[in-house]
Amino acid sequence: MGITEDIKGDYKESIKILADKSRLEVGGVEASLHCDKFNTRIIKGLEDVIGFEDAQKILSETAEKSTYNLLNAYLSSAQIADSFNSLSPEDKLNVIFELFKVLGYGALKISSINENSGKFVSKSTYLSEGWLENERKWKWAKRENPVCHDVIGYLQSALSLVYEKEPGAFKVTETSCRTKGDEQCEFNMEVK
Amino acid sequence: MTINSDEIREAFLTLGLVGDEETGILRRFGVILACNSVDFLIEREIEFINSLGSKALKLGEKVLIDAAQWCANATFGGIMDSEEWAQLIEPNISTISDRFDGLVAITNCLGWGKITSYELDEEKEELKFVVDYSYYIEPWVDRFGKTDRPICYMWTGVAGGYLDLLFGSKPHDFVGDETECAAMGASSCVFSAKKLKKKYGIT
Ligand SMILES: [Zn+2]
Repeated sequence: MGITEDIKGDYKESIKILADKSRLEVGGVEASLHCDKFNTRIIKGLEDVIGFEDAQKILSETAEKSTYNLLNAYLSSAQIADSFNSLSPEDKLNVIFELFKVLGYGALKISSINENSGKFVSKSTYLSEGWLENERKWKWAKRENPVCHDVIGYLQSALSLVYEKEPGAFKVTETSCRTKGDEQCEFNMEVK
Repeated sequence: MTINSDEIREAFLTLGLVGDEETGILRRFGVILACNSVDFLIEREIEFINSLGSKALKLGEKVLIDAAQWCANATFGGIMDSEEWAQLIEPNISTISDRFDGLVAITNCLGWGKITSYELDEEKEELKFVVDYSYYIEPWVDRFGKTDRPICYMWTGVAGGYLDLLFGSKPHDFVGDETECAAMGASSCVFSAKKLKKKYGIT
């Protein structure tokens, strides 16, 4: 627990507002804050215009590449790298899931994991949480497809980092989603 | 101006901009915030716009602007209803311009770039503001060099959203426009907003 808490604590400390530019930095990488209203409406807008599959592809792929860089910059930095690299793949992934909590992405848990396959669950991804609220507020139709496209990208980037592969090495599929009425969001991982 | 933006930035940071230990949900001001890399936020828009082709460009731009206008309503509406606002900002507000000062100070904490000046015409209900370091510029310019049109879609939606909140009764009473954009070579990005003219009385 010690290493995880240290890495997480340092990550929280690394959040800075660069006052002269009004930009934000986390772990040395530029980041910014947006609300669920914006992020879910981006998903809805993209799906309405280009369809579920293409929207999911764009959002998961851009999330994967950029989150890989966001995490890698921090986890490979001089003060973190040694302790992070001393961990097992499963522990590394748990550390990254703690960083995702810091970033407000929700809580993910490992159900099973090895280098070739894995299952992850979440009772609170920020997108499902936000979508369900906005569905009530704006009377959106109940979803027939999962919504956590960004989270697919986050998971793919995390797995690439943990197993030291390039981004794009893993394919994650969201098999259940709270926005469809499922009890929790579930993700399956396979090697591409 | 009685709003102290340095004080607001300090207070904003002390709210703790991190997700809950258990759920990982970052609920502030009545909305759920998430901290994403700027690359993701802009690249997803670029890929979307690129996938559309020129015929559907306007539609794609409208989707992105719209999403932000709703966001402005929810986030800044929530901010103005919050306890933090009541303590920190409300006591210093006597005019609509003061209220807008407060909104600008909060906006400048979110990592989107900096609103450096503005003109708010309360009589005409019109707004013009300048943004330096818009977070859109590097990703677009890195990929395409100069752009042939303004591309700061989120800011354009937020421009309309500000006036919806200050003078309107609902989202999209007002409409924003980006009149100069640093991605086109301008020194800063400039936005304006005014009441939406309804064609033939229909929205
Ligand atoms: Zn611009």
